[in-house]
Amino acid sequence: MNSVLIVDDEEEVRESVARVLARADYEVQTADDGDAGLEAFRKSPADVVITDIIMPEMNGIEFINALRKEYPKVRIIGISGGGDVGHLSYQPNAVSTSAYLAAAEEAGADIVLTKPFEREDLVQAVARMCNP
Amino acid sequence: MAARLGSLKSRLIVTVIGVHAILLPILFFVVSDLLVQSHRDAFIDQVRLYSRFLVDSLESKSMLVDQAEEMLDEVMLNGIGLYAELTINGGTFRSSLSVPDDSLQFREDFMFGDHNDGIYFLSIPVVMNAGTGILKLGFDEQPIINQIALVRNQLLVMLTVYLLVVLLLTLVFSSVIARPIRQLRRASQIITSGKHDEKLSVTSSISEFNLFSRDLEHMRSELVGVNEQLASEIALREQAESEREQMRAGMVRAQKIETLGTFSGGIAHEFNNVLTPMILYLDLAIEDAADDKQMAEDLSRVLKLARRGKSLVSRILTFSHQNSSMDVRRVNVAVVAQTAIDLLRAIVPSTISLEFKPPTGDRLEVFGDPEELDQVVVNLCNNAVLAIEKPQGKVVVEVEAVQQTGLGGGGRDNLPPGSYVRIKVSDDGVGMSDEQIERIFEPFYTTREVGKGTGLGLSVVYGIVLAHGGQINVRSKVGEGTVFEVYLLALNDWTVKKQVMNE
Repeated sequence: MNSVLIVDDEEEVRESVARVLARADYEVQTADDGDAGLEAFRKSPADVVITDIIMPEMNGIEFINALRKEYPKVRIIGISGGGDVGHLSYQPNAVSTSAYLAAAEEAGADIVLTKPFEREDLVQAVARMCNP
Repeated sequence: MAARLGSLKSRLIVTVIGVHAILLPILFFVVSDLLVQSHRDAFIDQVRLYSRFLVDSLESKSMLVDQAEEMLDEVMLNGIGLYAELTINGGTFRSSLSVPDDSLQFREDFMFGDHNDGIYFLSIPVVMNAGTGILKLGFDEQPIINQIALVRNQLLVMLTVYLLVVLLLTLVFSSVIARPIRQLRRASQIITSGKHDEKLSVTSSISEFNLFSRDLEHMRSELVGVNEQLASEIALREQAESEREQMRAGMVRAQKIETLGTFSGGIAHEFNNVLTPMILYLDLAIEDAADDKQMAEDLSRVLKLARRGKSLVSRILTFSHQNSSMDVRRVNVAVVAQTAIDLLRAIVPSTISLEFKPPTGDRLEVFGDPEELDQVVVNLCNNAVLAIEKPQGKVVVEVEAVQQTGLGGGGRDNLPPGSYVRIKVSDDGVGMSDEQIERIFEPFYTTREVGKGTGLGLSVVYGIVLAHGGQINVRSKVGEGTVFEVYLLALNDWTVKKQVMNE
């Protein structure tokens, strides 16, 4: 059975994603921020990690970087709230969210999903990650 | 003015007269004295000489007393002799031509005019053959007196004429001085009255006035120069002030929108975190309600509504310039604009001409989303077209590569120096007041009637421009039209440009 680690600072996001994936027969773990996520992964590595991109404390990209460094082969799905990258759009010539997402991809997220996503999109993305 | 120069004139005249009043009498008396004296001396010399000659003649050896009488007559006949008498050996011979005795009293004179008798008497001892005697002679003083009087009169006349000439010259001189002074005064009055334009020049034969006039002209032109300098300084300062004002206005505007944007961005973010679980849970719940058709149906309606909420959020995000679905690549702004305008021409009413000015410069590429930039052009053109309420109008779109040195505008900061691509949309429509310009990018702000526009068009444009790291400027005057200028940071990559050109 494939396992998934969900990292997001919003409780209901974690819970709803977990339930959807549980019903799709995945083993699910959750963590509420990057540090907790790293710890959880170290304790019990998952096949796929789903992480929010902007979070307080250690933000999503930092988390992805750290995770990749330790576990180069891990599969990562980044989820973005759209309103997440607020301040970045004020940088001159920062092509804002797009660049941010590009950066997320560069950092090592294999797929990026924008919130709110459909159940089907979520499940398909995870499936794709497990069977590349 | 005349009184003051009159004082110059009268002062000169009074001075001249005063001086002469003292000098001339002195001169007159001194000179006339000298003349009188010399006349008298000359007379006496002449008289004595003659007398001496007479005596010598009388004393000559051959002279007889009888002959002496003849001699005496000759004295009288000479003209100036009035009295001749010889007393010798007890006898007196008097010329028969002498003036009768009674009126003549011999009184010896030592000086001309002595005894006031008009006759100059003198007596000389004579030594003749016949014996020793005394010769008494009297000479007419009158001619000399007349001569003296004449000379005195002449002198007086000369001095009077001289005085008059001097007075005349004084008058002339005072005019010569007064004229340039009057001119200079008039000139300085003109300057005082504020007319600084006329060049000032007073010419006179007197060098001091010319120099003074030149100095005055110098002062005037310096005054003009200073005035001009002040005027241009004031103009510069006013311009700087108005630029600062514009910048401030731009920053205020940006601040407002940013707040609004952040606000809605923040809420949108939260909303997404609400909608995500909502949609997932509803999906799960519908699955769970497989047996309960009613519940399944109710829930799927709710799910539909949740999805509507999703699209609402994305629209809010669009105008709060936090749209995450930008597709970024190299975009040629001129091409985007051209395409947009070609399509717009089809829908724009024929009474309004939509003109696309050929782009100048070659660095017309930016890093951005072509669809969003197309939206910018479309929205700006739409706004421009709607602003034209008269029967005929013109909307002009220009795309240009520009160098920016730093300007205020709609962004939060100054446009940093660099190369930009500028999209300029101008219309000759109704224009906007300053208050309208202030709020034009606000979401839902519209100056049109209900039904004619949502008021989101320009706020969308604003969001897209900022998301592209650019700035947007607006200038407008009520009744004259509006100009929007969008500045996008240019893609300064020559190799990239070459690649694009080869594609």
